[in-house]
Amino acid sequence: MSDNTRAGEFEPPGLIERLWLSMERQVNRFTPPEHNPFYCLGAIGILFLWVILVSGLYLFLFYNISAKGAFASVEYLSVKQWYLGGVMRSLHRYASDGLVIVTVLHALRSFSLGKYRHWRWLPWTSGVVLAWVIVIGGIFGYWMVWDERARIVATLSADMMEALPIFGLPLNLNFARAENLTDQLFYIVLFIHFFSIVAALLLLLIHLTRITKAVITPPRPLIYGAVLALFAISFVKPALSAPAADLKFLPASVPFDWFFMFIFPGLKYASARELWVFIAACTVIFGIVPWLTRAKRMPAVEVVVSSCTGCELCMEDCPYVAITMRPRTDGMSYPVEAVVNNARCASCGICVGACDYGALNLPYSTEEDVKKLITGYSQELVDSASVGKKVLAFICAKGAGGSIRADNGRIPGVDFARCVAIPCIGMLQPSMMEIPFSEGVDGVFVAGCRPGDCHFRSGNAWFEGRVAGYRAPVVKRSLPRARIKYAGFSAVESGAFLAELSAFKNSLAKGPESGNESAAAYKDTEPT
Amino acid sequence: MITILAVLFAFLIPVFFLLFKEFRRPNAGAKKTDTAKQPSRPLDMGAAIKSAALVLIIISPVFFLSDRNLSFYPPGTASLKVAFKKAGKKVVDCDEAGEIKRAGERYRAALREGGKGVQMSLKTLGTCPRQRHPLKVVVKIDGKEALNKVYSPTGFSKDMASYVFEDLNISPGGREIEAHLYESGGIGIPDFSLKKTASVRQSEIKLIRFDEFTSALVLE
Repeated sequence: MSDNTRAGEFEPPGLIERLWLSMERQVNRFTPPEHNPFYCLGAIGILFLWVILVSGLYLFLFYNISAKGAFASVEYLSVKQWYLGGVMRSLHRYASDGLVIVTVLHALRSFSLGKYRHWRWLPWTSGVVLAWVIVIGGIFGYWMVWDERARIVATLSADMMEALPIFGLPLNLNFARAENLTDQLFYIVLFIHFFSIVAALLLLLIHLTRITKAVITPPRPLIYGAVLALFAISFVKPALSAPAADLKFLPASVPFDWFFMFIFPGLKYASARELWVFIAACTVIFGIVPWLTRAKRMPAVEVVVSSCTGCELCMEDCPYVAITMRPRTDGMSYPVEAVVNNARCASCGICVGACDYGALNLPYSTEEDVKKLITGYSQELVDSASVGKKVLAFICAKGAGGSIRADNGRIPGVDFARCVAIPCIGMLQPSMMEIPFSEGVDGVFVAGCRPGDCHFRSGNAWFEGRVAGYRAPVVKRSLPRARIKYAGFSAVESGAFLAELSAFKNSLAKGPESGNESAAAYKDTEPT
Repeated sequence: MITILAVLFAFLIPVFFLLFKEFRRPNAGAKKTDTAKQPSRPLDMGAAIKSAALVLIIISPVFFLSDRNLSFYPPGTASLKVAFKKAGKKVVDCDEAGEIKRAGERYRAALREGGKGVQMSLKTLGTCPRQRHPLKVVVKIDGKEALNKVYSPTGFSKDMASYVFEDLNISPGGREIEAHLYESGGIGIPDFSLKKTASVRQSEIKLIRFDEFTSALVLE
């Protein structure tokens, strides 16, 4: 059995995944991976949500909540107070449009990379609901301007709502003549618009509830970059109103915001009821996607209670809140013990990496098995006839491991290295890294996912922290950092992986004083 | 305005509280696992500008799709809306006020005869049926029937107003518009009628409504 199959979910990426990863690879050529916006689309969405909230509060201060005054107050902001009110309005609109775009990309990415199944069903399903709340909030936001666009949106959404059995009265009566339009209606619309952001924030809590240390803030350069981009669009293309709503004439050609109003053109071709059925069907289908495309699930991690010291490191490191602590059940003197919620366990092995006491084990890739492999490959390397420096590589199954087809640890065409594939680099225990050096291997090459793009969210970050010495359990300082190299690859970067591996071997051959980058990197971040 | 703002955003207080609680926990845990502080890096302006360019590319569809024009109504058309709210006639012409008065008199008489123990029967007061007829509206444009529809009264007991809303396509030009409203479900002669010739301009919306003050159908 090859290592790639041994460690579980080690299947090569499918076509959609490869295409997506190839696109992200192109972006990584332009910017460092940690600033790749595709790696933190959700966080960018939350940033846009804050921009919407702040700019919306400013707009509200000047907004006249009445049928007669709404349009004039928004026009005042856009025309007379263009330098602040107009910019705020543009930021409000484009952050909203941007939110829809990043939400769609976030969903596409999660789907393409298989990040929606099994333990991730709650973020996916709540995300579908969240997306609708965003769209509804946006639609009602457009009502508030009460221009021709608002009027057609109001008319069409009233058509839609009337088709629901919960509304007994024809809402369109409100728009039949100007005298029917009441200020109360604008209060209701304002309330719904405000409530949508409250609902979005509440749904966001549900969306993130099973995620430990959720990334809700993008890296600083991305925050500045995103805000800068929004300002740029706001100045280049200020958000403006359509002409004031005139209920005596049919709206002619109206500027439509397709990010929020994409449903309405459907009314030209189908009745409101048919459209509702279509929306409901699409929502249900999207919502149950995690169950429609079920892939084989790996068995959950197991706790060896007798070895558990209740240190809580596994609980802290688990990316999906699958591990909790409970009072001791075996009478040992430690106050608590770890317990795994199997339904939430991703079988990533990150908790195994956090536990150097052997208290956690992946049934399909036990600590003992991995250590045996490391020892066996290390000995094999040391005993092999190949000349030059010898390297043991740990590869992440979802990163480079997805494209490297190793047979018994041998990479075709590479005889100076053996590789051990593990489900996630976060599974790598400090004690595992000591074995190759104790066996006489010259260097350890660790290939994880791209920074900020760990398939299991935080495995590579925890690993780097352990090596750099700022995250427990730390890798011993006595281990020669100059002979350890960490690099991140996606599943379509086997070429880059092999090139880095060879470069590392060559740098080892030149000696530790040759300016090894990884050594310098780790040295910089060591605690003083 | 500030009061409205405060009331509306009072909803956010529990949200912020929950958010604070949710994201405080991992930070507290970080003390356990993070043996030393991660080094903080100064802001790289070059990276920020690159990020801005990337985000700009990602959200670039806003340039094309945030205000792309759409004509929902075909050009060269106009609209005739029939929109009003009106209660139909009662199904049973019952003198509710008289019923109540008579029940009161009976109660007073019973009190005089029977003393304090006599109770008023509320059931007797409710016997007057309040159900209303549906409204029937017939609209003819240039003599051709464009609408003939019955609108049920609202309310659980079907005792409230009927709501009429129809949006009919109409060609611009001189049009003879005729409307009839039946308050008793379309039986007999119409209770209200309207017949007018109107000049309809392109994209214009003509409205037939029931005017409560003049108690008549009007065309606007």
